[in-house]
This record gives sequence, C-alpha cells and structure tokens, in this order.
Amino acid sequence: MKDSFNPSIEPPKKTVTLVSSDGYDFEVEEEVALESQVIKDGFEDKAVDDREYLLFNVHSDTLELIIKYCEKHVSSRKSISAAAASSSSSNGEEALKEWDEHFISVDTNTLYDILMAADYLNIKSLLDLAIQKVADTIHGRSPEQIRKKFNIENDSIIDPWASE
Amino acid sequence: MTMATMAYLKRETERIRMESEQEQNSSSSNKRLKPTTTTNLQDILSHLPEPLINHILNFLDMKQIVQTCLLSKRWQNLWESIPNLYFNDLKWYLTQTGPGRKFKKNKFRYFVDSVLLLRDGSDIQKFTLYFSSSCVSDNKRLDRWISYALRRNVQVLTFGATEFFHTNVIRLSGYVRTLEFKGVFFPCDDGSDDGVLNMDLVNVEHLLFEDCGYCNVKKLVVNAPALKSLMIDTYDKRLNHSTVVKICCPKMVVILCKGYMFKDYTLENCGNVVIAKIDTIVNPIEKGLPDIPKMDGEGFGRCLNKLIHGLGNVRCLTLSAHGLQGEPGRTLPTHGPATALQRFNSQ
Repeated sequence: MKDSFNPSIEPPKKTVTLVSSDGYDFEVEEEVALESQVIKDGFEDKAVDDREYLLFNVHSDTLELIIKYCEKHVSSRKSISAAAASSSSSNGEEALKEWDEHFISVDTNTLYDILMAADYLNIKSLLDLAIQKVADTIHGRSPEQIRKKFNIENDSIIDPWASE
Repeated sequence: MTMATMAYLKRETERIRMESEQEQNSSSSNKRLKPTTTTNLQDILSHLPEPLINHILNFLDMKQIVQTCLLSKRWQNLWESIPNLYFNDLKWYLTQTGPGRKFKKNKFRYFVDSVLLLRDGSDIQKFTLYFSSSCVSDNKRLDRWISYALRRNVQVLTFGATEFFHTNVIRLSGYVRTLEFKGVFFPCDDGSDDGVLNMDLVNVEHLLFEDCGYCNVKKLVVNAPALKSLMIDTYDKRLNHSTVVKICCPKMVVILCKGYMFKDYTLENCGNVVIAKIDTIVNPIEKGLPDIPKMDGEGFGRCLNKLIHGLGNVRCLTLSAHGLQGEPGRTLPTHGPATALQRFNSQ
C-alpha cells in the first residue's frame, strides 16, 4: 500500500544473479536472464530471493558476451514491437541482424565458448547464430583448409593428400 | 558445495574483482581486464559434442559433409550417422560447364548410391534430393533411394527439379510427415490414357507443391487422410492451365493456393479447414503464349466459387485482389462467391 502514494516511482526492476565458473557475479534483469530456456524452465519454482544461478560451464568472459547479446535482443525486441505498435516503419530487425553479425565475428576460441555456453544455457537464437557462423566458415573449404582454419590435427594413418 | 564455502568463494572473487577494477581504473580502461589466455588456437571443432556437430553439418551439402571424413580420426565416421541428407546435383556441374556436365552427373548418381550404401543405417530425419533425372534408368535409382529413405523412417522428404517417369515413387507409405515437391514435373499414371494422377498419401501431414509441372496430368487427385496443411504454388501458367485438381483431405486445417489457377477444382470432405488463403493470379495479358486458352471471368468465378464452397466452415479466408479486380467485363457470378464472401466478411 505504501507504493500507491508514489505512483510515479517505478518499482525496482527484478534482477537475477548469474555466477560464472570462475566465481564472478553478474546481476542482470530478469527478462534478460529469461532468454535462456534453462533458466526459464525452473524460474517460477524458485523463491524470489533465491534467484541465483551457478553456471559451472560458463567462464566470466563468455558470460559477459552472452549477457551483452541477451540485453541487446531484449531491448531491440521491445523497440521493434513499439515501432510496430505505432505503425512507424523501422529497420530494427535489419539493424539487429547487422549487430548479430558483428557480435559473432570473433576468433574461433571465443566462438567455441559462445557455442558451448549457448548450448548449455539453451539460448536458441544465439546457438543458431553461432552454428551458422561455423557452418559458413566450413562451407566451400577443402579439408586441408578446414584443418588449418580450426587447427585440427591430422592424425589419420593414411593421409590422402600426401599420396596425391 | 556448502553455502558457507560458496559465500567465501563469492567474497573472495569480489575482492579479486575489486582489485582488478582498481588496476583497470589506473590504466584508464572501463572494462575488466581479460586475463591473457593462451593465444594458440585449439581444435575447437573436434571438441564439440556430437549433436552440435550434427547441427553444424545440417547447413552443408552432403558432398562437403562426406569430405569431412578426411579431417582426422575423430571425423572419419561422423558423417555416416548424420540424420539430415541433402543431395543437390547442381553442385556437381556448376563448377564445370560445357562437355563435362554429363560426366559429373554420372558421378552424382554414383555419389548418392555410395553414400546410402556406406551410411551406418541410423534413422534419417530429412531427405532432400535435387536431381534433374534425364533417362528412364534414373527412375529406378529414384525408386531405390526413396525406398532406402523410407526404410530409415524418414520424416521430411523433399524433391526438387525432379522428373518422375512413373508414379511408384509418389505412392508413399512409412512415416513421412512432410512431403515437398519443388519444381517437380509430374507424369500421369502408367497404363491409362485419361491422364489421371492419383496421390494416396497415408501419413503425410504437410504437403507442398511449389512450381511443379502438371502438363501431362489432366486430373490430379490428392487423397491424404492425415493431411493438415496443403500449399500449392504455381508461377508458370503453362504448367497447370489444363489440369483439374481434386482434393480430399478430411483433416486439413490450412490451405494456401498461390499463383496461377488450375483449370478446375473439386474439394471433397474439406470441412475442417480453418485458414484458407487464395492468392491467385488469373488471366494476365497474353503475350507470346497463344496456345494457352484464356481463362475468362466466368471460369475464374466458377473456380473460386467451388473453392470457397468446398471449404465450408473456414474461419479465416484471405482472397487476393489480383483475381477479383482487373479487366472490365469479368464479373463474378453473383449467386456464388458473393453470398459466400458476405458470410466470411462478417467474421
């Protein structure tokens, strides 16, 4: 009832704490965390003051990137739907796509971390993005080029390229 | 891990973070410093779990997927069990033009045969085949490939740019849920002169005809007891102007008709359709195609009429403006669609 006297003050945004594998806390808004299907699944059952998730498989560096991605997607989704509601034309989706492309242009180690984290947290759009990126990298390359690109050690007994 | 140790860990990491932040502030950077990781790149691709690797391979052509067996020991057998097979013969002669084309095509046939032979026999989820068959023996191949896919419980079957010489291949059983024809040229049934093509699709739930050719088919009969959605999309009027369609799908919920209209429609038992979209182009100005009879307004009206009446209790009907407006002199028969449309407009 106290709040009703101050209707202009917004209620504080609910937050969730994510703890990375190396022990860092990341406090993020609820809806940002809910981008992860894994967090979303058990979310309602958890007590409000116990919304803390220990992500043993995600390093803080990667988690930072993941949160950045989720925040961007939550905010741009809002702006896109707002633009649609006011029926004003916007190129929000285009811009988001561009942002995604820029976001995923990372070295292969980081890409691997993102891929694993997106899989672990079950963030479908990010997983698709990362997988598409890997597939694009493989596409049109010869096995030898793929090996070089991804540092795959050739441990086959017979090297078909050597015999040629 | 107990709560106490967890709390300790957090306190400790907080302290470390504070320290590193102080360090950063002195180096005028706002971001937490990245601990310098080893710069040599690891073999990330091979370390991925198999489902993720399969997911990545889904985006690639079968040719390149098979090539990955050369990468390393880990990759040697991975391709054998991937659930989505995508074959496209276009990839086999785009690199080579001129006299080499045919040779490559033979290679393609051999390639598909070999892949199917060497697979480990796990189930297939999606089977996609783009193959411009050119001789009768190709039909036997098609038969063989499709029956292999059916034996492996294929769920989604897609054919592109294929010409079926006889229709055994279309009579599908098994667990196929989604069947797609893209640019497929249909024959009529063998041994009958009336040009009827019967499609009895037992388990198919989603059926797509995209830019298919029906020149040899006078009557196309789709009989699919489990079908939920049907999409017919024709953008070349030479392909379907002389064909009559009969659709019998009691469980159909969604129907989409796009592009040029067929000669006539018969809808049987389609009372469950909820969403219908009839986005047809009709009777454009004829240029250079004198052999195609013009469909007049009356003919179009009759088709539309039949479609709408056949759809019975449809809840959401979309009609494109294309077919309804246009030349003067074409009028919709007032007794038919007009009354039907009024009924739908009110919803």
